[in-house]
Amino acid sequence: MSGRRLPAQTGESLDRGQPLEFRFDGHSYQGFAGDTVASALTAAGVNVVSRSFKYHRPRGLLCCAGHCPNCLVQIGDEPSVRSCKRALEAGMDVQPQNAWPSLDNDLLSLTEAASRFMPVGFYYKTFHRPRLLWPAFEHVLRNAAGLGVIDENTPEGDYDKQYLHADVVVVGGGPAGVSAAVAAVDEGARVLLIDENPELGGHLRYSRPDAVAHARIVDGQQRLLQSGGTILNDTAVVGWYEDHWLSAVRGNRLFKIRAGAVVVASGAFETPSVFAGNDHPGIMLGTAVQRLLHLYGVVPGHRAVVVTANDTGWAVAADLLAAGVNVAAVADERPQLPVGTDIEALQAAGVTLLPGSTIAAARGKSGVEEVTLVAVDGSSGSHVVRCDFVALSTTWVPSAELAYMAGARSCYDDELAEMRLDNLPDGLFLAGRVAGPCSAEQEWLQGARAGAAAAGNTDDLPIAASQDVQATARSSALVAAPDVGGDKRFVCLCEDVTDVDIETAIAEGFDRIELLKRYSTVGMGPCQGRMCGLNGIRLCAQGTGKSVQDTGRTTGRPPVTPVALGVLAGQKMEPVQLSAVHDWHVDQGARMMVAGLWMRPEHYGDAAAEVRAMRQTVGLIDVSPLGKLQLTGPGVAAMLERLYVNNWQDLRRGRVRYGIMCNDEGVVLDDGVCARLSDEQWYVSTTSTGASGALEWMEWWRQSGWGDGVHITDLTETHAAFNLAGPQSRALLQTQTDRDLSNDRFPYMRARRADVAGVPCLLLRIGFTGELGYEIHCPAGYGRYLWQRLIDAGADFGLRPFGVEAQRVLRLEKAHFIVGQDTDALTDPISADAAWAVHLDKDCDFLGRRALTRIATDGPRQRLVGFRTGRRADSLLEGLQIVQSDDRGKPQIIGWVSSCRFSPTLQETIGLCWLPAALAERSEATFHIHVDGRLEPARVHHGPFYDAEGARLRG
Amino acid sequence: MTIPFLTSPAEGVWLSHGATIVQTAAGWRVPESFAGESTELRAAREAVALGDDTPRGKIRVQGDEADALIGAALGAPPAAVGRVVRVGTVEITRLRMDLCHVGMTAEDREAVWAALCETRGALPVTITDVTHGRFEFRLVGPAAPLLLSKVCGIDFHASVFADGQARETSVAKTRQLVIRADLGGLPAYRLLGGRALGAYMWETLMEAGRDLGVEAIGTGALLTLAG
Repeated sequence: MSGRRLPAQTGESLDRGQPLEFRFDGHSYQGFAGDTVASALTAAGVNVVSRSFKYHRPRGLLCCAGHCPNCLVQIGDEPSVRSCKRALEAGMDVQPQNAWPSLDNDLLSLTEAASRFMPVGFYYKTFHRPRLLWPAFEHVLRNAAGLGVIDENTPEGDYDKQYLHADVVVVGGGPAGVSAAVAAVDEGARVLLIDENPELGGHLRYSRPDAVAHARIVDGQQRLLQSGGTILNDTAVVGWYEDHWLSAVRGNRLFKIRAGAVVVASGAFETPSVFAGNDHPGIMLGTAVQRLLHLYGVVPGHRAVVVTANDTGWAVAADLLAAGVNVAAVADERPQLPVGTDIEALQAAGVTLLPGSTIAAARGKSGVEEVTLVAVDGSSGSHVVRCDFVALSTTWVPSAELAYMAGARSCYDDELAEMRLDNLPDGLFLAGRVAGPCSAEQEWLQGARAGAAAAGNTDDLPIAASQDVQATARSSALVAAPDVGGDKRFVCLCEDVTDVDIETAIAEGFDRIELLKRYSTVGMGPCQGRMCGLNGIRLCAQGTGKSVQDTGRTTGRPPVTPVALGVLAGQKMEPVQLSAVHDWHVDQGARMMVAGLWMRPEHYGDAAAEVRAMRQTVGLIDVSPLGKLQLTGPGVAAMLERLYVNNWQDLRRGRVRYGIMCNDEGVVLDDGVCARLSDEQWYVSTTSTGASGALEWMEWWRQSGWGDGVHITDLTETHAAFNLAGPQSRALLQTQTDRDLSNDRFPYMRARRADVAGVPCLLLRIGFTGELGYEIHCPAGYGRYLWQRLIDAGADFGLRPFGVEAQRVLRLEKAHFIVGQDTDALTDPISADAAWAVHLDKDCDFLGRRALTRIATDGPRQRLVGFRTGRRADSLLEGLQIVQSDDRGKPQIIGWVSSCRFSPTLQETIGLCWLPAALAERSEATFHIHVDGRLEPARVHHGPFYDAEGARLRG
Repeated sequence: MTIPFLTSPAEGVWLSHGATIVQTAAGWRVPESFAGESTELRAAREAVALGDDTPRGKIRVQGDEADALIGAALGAPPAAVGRVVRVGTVEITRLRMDLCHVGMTAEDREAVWAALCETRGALPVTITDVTHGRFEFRLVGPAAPLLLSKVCGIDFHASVFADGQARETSVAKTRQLVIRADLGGLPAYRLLGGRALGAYMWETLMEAGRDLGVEAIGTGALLTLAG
C-alpha cells in the first residue's frame, strides 16, 4: 500500500478487516472489501488506468461516478467495465484497455505524433481511395479501433428481467428523492424509489459528513419501507418511454417499469473544464475527490490544486486540507472570495487563494506535475504551481436525461450558466439539484412538493420562510480557459475531440449542433455527452456566433448509461412445443429438428429404411403438430365454402375431404383435410407450421360476419395425432380396436370414432404417404400411452417409427406438394397442379375466386410439376435453378427445384420443380438443373411417381 | 388389457428433478413429491413453489348464451371478464363476453361435463373439454408474484390482481391464462397454457425463480397446503 489510504473514518464503505488481493496490468495489488476497483488502484498509487481512444494518451480517474470513459477496464472476459463503479473482488484480473503491448508503453501512442494528419473527420476523407486498398485499411482500423476484447467463448450470461408497477416512481435517492418518496407514500401511493448507489443519500454520501442530514435519510427510508414503499438500490434508470414506461438496470437484470407518475430527483454532476492538457492523469472532478476521501478513505495525491467557480470547490479544498493533503492553491473564477469557515481554514493553513483565476494548462509526463493558473480576464500574470493532482469544481450539469427523453425542453440560463428545464410533460416532476442550484433545505422541500403532486395532491404546499433560501450559481460561464498554448485542449474525452476540432468542423460547415456531433463525434463515446455536452454546445455557439439557447442541444435517447446487450435480451426464452411422445423420440435416439416452434423427430437413424418399412409393412409417425381445429355451428359448411376453394356443403357426415385455403388473390395459404363429424361439428386439420395462421385467418373472417353461429376451438394441443400407414396398418390397428376397419365399413377418406387400446380416438382414413393408413387423433394426455401400445403391438407386424425426413420422401413419391416448401407467396392452386380441387362453379363466392378465374382462363405461366432423373443424383438439392440456353446460347433461369429426394422405393432421384407451363405440359421433356457450374438433366413427370392409380391407398 | 395412463407434458422435466411419480385413480401420472414434503412446504410458505395440476378438468364454454347455460347448469353465472366465480370446487372464469373457462378437480370433470351437456339443449353454445390441451401449473408462495413479474408484464400487486381475478396474457412469450387462486392463505396462481409448451414453461419458471428459492412441489404438499 502507498501512503494514500487514510485512517478509518465514519461513513466510509470499507471493511478494513477484509483485505482483497487483485491484479492490474500484470501487477498484484491489495484493496479492501467495499472498495471499487478504481479506489483500490488509487490507494495503491496507480494513476494511469487507461489509454485514450484516438491518441492513446494516458488517462486516470476523472469523475468516479460512472460517467466518464477514463476508468474503463477489462475484467476477465468483460470489456469496458467502469472501474469506479465495480466493487472490488478477491482475485480479480483487471486489464487496461486500448493499450498495447502495455499501459506504460503503448505503441499506438505514436498516433499523437501524427495528429496533425488526423484532423476532425479525417476518416471520412481518407482510406476510401484507392478502393483496392480498403480491405487492408479496414483490417488495420478494426484492430486499432474499439475498446476491450470480446471473448467469443465466453459462456452465456445469466440475465433476466422483471416488470414493476408503481403509482409514483422516484428516480434518485438523495435528499430530494427520499423526501419525494416519503411524501408520495404518505399520500397513499404505491411508491418505487430507484437509486444508482448501494445506499440512499445521494451527494450526502460523499460530501462532508452531516449527521442531521444523514438521520433524515435514514428516517425517510424507514418511513418509506414501513408504508409499503419499495427501494431499488444499485439500479440505474436508463430510459423513459411513452406513458412513463421506464427501463432500469441492476446488475444483469432489466426492469421494465410502468409508472403513474415520475419524480426525477437525479441530481446534478460536475463536468471538466477546457484547458491545455486537461486530460492528464491526476486531473479530477471535485466530487471524485470527495468520493475517494469520504467513501474509500483515499487521497488521490499529496499536493493539490483546487479550481472552482462555486462554493463546493472550497468544501473540497477544506476536506483535502483536513485529510492532511498539501493544498498548494485554490483558484476561484469569481472575482471575490466567498466567506465561510472553509475559507478561513484554508487561509489559516497558508494556502494560496486566487480569486478571479482559473486553470489554463496542466503539464506532466504520465500525470499532472504542474499547472498554470491565470486571471480569468487576462488582467494579471500567471502562477505556475507544482502539484500531483487537480480538483476541478467549476461546472454542474443537471442529470436530466430522463426529463429530456420525456419531452422536457431545455432553456439555457445565462445568469446561472447552465441548462434549465421547462415544458415538463404531465406526470413528470423535478426535484432537487436536477432542477437547478438549490440549498440542502430546498432539496427536501422540493422533493416533498414533487412527491405529493406526483401522488395526486395538487394543493400548493406552503414553504416556510426559513427554508426559502436562494442558492448561488454553481457553474462557470467560461467556455474555455484563456489559451496559453501548449498541449491539446480536450472537449470530448471519449473520442479525443479538441476545441480545435470543433472549430475546424464548424469552419467546414458542420455548424448545427446535431451535424457537429455526427461529424466530430463529440458526445458519441461511452459517456454519451455527459462530460462534454455542455462544453460542446458552448463552443458551437461561440464558433457560430449564436447564443447557447439558439444553438440548442442534441436529442437525448435511451440508454442514459451503457447497457450490456445481454441485459436487454434478458432471460433466454425460446418457446418450444413438444408432443406428448417427445421423450420417447429422444429416448430412441431420434434426431430432432425444429419445425416452427415444434421439435419433431427427423429420423431415427436411417430414413431410407423407414421409407422401405412403411412401404413394405407398416410405419408410425407422430403428427401431433398438425393444426386441429374444431368448428361448430349451423354455418360451418357455408363458412368453409368461402374460405376454401373446394365444395363443402355436399360433404356428408363421417366423410373427409382435402381442401386448399387461399387468400383473396388466389394465393395458397394452407391445406389439410376437413372431416364432417356431425351436421354442425367439423374437424379441420391444417399444416403444422401454418396452424396458428390458419386459425387467425378463420377467426378474422368469422368475426367479419362469415361465420354465422360458428365457434372455432383450437384443439391442436388437445389431441395427439399419429399416422399409422403401410400395408399392415389395418391389421395392426385392428388388434387394438373393436371398430370394424374393413374397407367396406371404413373406406378411404372417412372418419370414425373408435376406442383404440382403450383410448377414445378419432380415426381419419387418409393417406399423405400413399399407403393404406389411418390418422389417429386421441386426447393428448393419452398420447404417450397409446404410442407405446401401438409400438408394442406393431412388433409382430414389422412396425418401424418414421420421422419427418421419411415422410417427405413418401409424400414426394406421391407428388404431393407441401405448402411453404413447394409454394411461395405467389403460388395459386391451379399453377400448383391442384386445379382439380378448385371449384370455380361453386354457388357462393369464395376467397380467391376472381383471381383464380382469371388464371384458369389465361392459363398459368409457371407450373409445379414432377421430375425424375433415372439415377441417383445426390448433388441435386432443393432451391437449385433450372436453366435453358437462349437464342445466343446464354443460359437463362427458367425455373427452380422446390423438392428433391432420392427415392428408396424407385431407386432414383425425383422431385418437384417450377417450370414454364409450356415445358411442364410436355411429359418426358428434358430440362437441365444448374449444379455447381454444370448441368444435370432431368425429365418432366406427370402425376404420382408411386401407385399412380391410388390402389394401395384405397385398398 | 393395460389400463391407459395419462401424462402431463412436464413429466420428463419432473423426472430430471427427482420426482416420485404415482398414478391417480383417474389414470394420471402425477409427481407426488420432489425434494420431500417438508422442503416443498417450506418453499411454498417462505418463498415460492411450482406444482403441476394438469389433471384438473378444463372445459371451455363458448357462445352468446354461455352465461345462461353455466348459470343453469352450475348454479352461478359467470362474473365480469377477468373475474372468477367459485361454486364448490368449480371455478368459472370469464375470458370474453362469449367465452368462459370452467375449471374443476379431475374427479368432478365428468359430472360438470354432463351437467353442461345436459343443460345445453338447443342453446347455441359450444362446450369443449380441453383438459388434455392445456397444462395447469400452480405457483404458490409469498414470492410467487415476484417470480411472475419476471416472465409477465401485468401488475400482480394484490391491490390490482387479487384472489379470484384472472387474465389471459403473455407469460414467457407464450399465451397463457393466469388465475389468482390463493392456497392455504398463501398467494397462489394457476397458469394454464398450451400443453405442448408445458415442459418449456416448467423449465422457464424454475429458472426465473432460481434466485427466489423456487422448489418444485408435489401433489402431496399441495394437498397439505389446501388443508
